[in-house]
Amino acid sequence: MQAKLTRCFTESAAALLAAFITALYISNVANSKLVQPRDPLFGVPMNVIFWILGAGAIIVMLAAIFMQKSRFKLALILCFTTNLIIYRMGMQWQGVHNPGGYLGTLAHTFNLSTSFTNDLLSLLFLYFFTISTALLLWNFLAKPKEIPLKAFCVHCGGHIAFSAGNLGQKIPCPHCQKETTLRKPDLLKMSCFFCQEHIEFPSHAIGEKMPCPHCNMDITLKEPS
Amino acid sequence: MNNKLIQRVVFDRAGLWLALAAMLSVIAWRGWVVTQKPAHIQKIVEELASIGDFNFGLTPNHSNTYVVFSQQTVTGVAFFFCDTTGGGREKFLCEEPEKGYSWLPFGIKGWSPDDKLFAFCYPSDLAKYEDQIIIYDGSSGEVVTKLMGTAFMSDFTWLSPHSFAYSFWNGDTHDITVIEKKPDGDWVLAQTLKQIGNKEMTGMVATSPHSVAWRQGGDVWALDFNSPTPKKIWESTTNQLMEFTYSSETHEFLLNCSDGKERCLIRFRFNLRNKWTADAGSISNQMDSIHNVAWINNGVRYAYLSLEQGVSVFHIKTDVNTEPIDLPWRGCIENYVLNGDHLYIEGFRTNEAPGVWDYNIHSREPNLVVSVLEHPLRYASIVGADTLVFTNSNGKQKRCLLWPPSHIAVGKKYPLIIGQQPYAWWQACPQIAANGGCYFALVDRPSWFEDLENWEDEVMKVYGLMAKNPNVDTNQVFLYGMSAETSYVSNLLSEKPDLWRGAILFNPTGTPDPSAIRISSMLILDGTDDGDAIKRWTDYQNKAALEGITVKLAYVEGAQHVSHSTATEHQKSEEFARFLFGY
Repeated sequence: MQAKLTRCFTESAAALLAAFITALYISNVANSKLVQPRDPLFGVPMNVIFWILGAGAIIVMLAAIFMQKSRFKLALILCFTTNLIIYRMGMQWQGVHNPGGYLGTLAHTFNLSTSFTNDLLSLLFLYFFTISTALLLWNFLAKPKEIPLKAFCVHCGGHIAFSAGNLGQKIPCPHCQKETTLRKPDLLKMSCFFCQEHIEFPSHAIGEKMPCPHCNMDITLKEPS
Repeated sequence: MNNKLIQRVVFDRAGLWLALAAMLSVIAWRGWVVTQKPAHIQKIVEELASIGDFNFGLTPNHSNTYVVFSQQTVTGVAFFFCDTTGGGREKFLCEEPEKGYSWLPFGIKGWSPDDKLFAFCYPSDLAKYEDQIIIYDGSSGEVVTKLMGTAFMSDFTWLSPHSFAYSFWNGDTHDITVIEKKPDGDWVLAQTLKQIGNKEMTGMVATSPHSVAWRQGGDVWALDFNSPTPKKIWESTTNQLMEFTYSSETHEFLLNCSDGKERCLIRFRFNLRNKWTADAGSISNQMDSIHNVAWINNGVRYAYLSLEQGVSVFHIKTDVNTEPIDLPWRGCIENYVLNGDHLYIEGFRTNEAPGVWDYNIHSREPNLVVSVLEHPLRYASIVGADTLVFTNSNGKQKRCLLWPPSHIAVGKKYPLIIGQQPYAWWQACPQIAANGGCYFALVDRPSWFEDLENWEDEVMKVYGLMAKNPNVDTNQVFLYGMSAETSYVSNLLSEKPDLWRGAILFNPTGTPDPSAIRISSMLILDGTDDGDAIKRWTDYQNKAALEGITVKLAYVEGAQHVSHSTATEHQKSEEFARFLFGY
C-alpha cells in the first residue's frame, strides 16, 4: 500500500514537474526580448531564476522517474519544494505580498491571470510538500513486512510456519503433536533486479512478490541460477 | 533478456510517460494561446511596420517635374529624389542613421529658381558643430558640390540660380551668410551680415536676389544686403502673426494671423520703392485649425488647410470675395505642399496606399506619385480613420481619429485603446490594432505642446463616447501615450484606476505610482540611448513588481527618444501587438 502510494505520488510529481519546467522555458523563450524584473532576494532577473528553477526541477523530475530508492526520491521532492517555500517566504519578507509582478510574463504566455497562476503554483507546491512529507514519515515509521520462516517436522515431515523470533524453541508439531525444534531453514540469496543489493529469503518463498528491502521496488523472489 | 530489460526500464515507468504527456499538454496549451491571436498578426505587423513614416521635407521643384521627400528606412531617415512625370522613379540621395542620430540640421533646403539645382543640408561633424551644404543637380539628383556650413543654421533661401543665403545663430543673434557661384564654377562666401535678427527670427524668404524677409515674433522684417540694418515691414497689433508666405512673382505676402478667437488672412504687398501697403482683405471664420497657408498660381490664388467636421479640406481662393474651391480629403495627411496647380500630399486615403499624392486642383483627382509600399499588402489592410467630433471641457471643438476593427461582428465586443497625439496621419500601432480587432482612438492635437494639458480631459471625453458603443468592451480599455503624454497617462491611471486594463507607454517621461494603480500590466518601450532610460525603467519595473504589477519592458538598441527608423518602429509594433493580443 505504502509502496503503491509512493509510486503514484512520485510519478504524478514527475509529470507535474515536467509541465512546470515546460511552462517556465516556453515563457522564457516567448518573452526573450523583454527585460525581466529582478527578484528581490538575489537581484537576478526572473528569466534567470526561471532557467535555474527549471534546471533544478529537471533533476528532481529525472530522479522521480529513474531512481529506485523511494525514500531518496521523496526526500528530493521535499527538499526542492522546501527551498521554493523558503524562497517564497523570503519574498514575503522583502515586502512582496503579491508575486504577480514577477509571474506576469509566465501567466500571460498561457493567457492566465497572474493571481490564478500564483494560486496554481501555490497549490502545486503545497501538494508536493504535504504528500512527500507524509510519505516519508510513513516510510520511516512503518514496520517492515515479516516473512514467516518455515521448518519441517523431523517426525512427520509436516510444514510448520513460525516467526523468526521463535527460532530454536521446542514446540509440539501441529500435525503429529510430537515435540520438534524450530530450526532455521536454508536461506537462498539473490540480487535485486533494480538495485543489485543482496536479498536472502527462505526457499519456500520462491515465486512470491515482495518489495525489495533496499529499494522498495516490487520484485519476484527467484531461485538463484 | 533484452525484451525484459526494455519492459522494466521503459514500460514499467509510468512516470516517464506521464511526464511526457504533461510536457505535451503544456506545449499544446501554449499552441492554443498562439492560435487565439488574430490571424496572421505577425505578418500584419511585419507589413505595416515596414511602412516608413514620412518626415518633413516634401519639396517639389517649381515646374512640378521632380519632388524630393524624406522617409524612414530600416536604418535611419533618408531623402529620395523622384520624377513626378515618369511614374514615380526614386533615387536615394542620402541617409542619416538612427544610431547616433544628431540634432544637426538635416534636410532639403529648396530648389533654385530655375530648378537646375537643389540644396541639401547634411550633418558633417557633431564635435565641430559642422554641417555640409550639398548642392545637387536638379535633373539627375547627382552631387554637384559640397560646401561647409554651420550646425546652427536656421533658415535657407535661394536668392537666384547662382546664389543663396542662410541664417544661423551665433549665440547672441542671427547672422546671415550669402554664398555665390563664381564664373569658374566655384561656390564662395560673398558676404556675412552680422547681428540681423534675434532668436525669434524664422521663415526667411528671398524677396529679390539681394534682399530677404523673415518673421520675428509677430512682426515681419526685411533686409536689403546693400543696407546694413534690417527694417520692420509689418507690425502685429491685435492680430498675432502665425505664419506667412511670399510670392516672388506678385511681390505679395500672405499673412496668417490670429487674435486668439479668429484667424484672418491678410494680403500684404511689397513695394519696390521700399513702401509697404497692407491689407488686401481678410477671411474671418472660426477656423481654429487653419494652417499651411500658401500662395499658388504665382500669387494669383492662395490656399489653406482646415479641418471641418473632422475632414481635412483644402480651400483654394482666387480672391477674398469669391467662394473658395474646396477639395476634401478623406484620409490622413502628414504633410502637404502647394505648387502651382498641384497639391502634393504625404498621406493616405481610406483603404488606399500611403504615399506621395499629386492632387490636381483642376481635375480634382489624386494620383499616386510614390507609394511607400515596397510590395502590395498581402495580410494587412489599410484601415481608414473615422472621425469623432466632441467638445472638451474648455468648450473647444475637437476631433478624434478612430480606427475601428477591420471586421466587426454584430454583438461582439472589442478592446479599445485611447490616446491623444498630433501628426497621427500614419502610425503602425493603430493600423495593427484595427487589423487585429481593436478600436484605436487618438484625439488629434494641433501640435506637440498645444492642448497637451487637456490630455486627460479629452481622453475621458472620448472614453465617455466610446463606452456607449455596444461593440466596445469596457473591461478592456488601454491607455496609450508617448514621451510627454505619458505623465498624463499616469495621472489617469492613478485617478481612475478601475477603468483601465493596461497602459502602453513609448519613450515615457512619466510613470504612475505603482501603489496607486490597479492595472495588471503595462508595456514600456524605450531606446537604449534615451538618456538614462535603461536604469530608470529597470528600477521602475522592479518597484512595480514589488506591488504586483507586471511591467513588460523592452529596449530598442541604439534608439533615442524619437525613433528614426522602420527597424525601431518594427520592434515597437511587435511588442505592442504581443502585449495587446497576448501571444
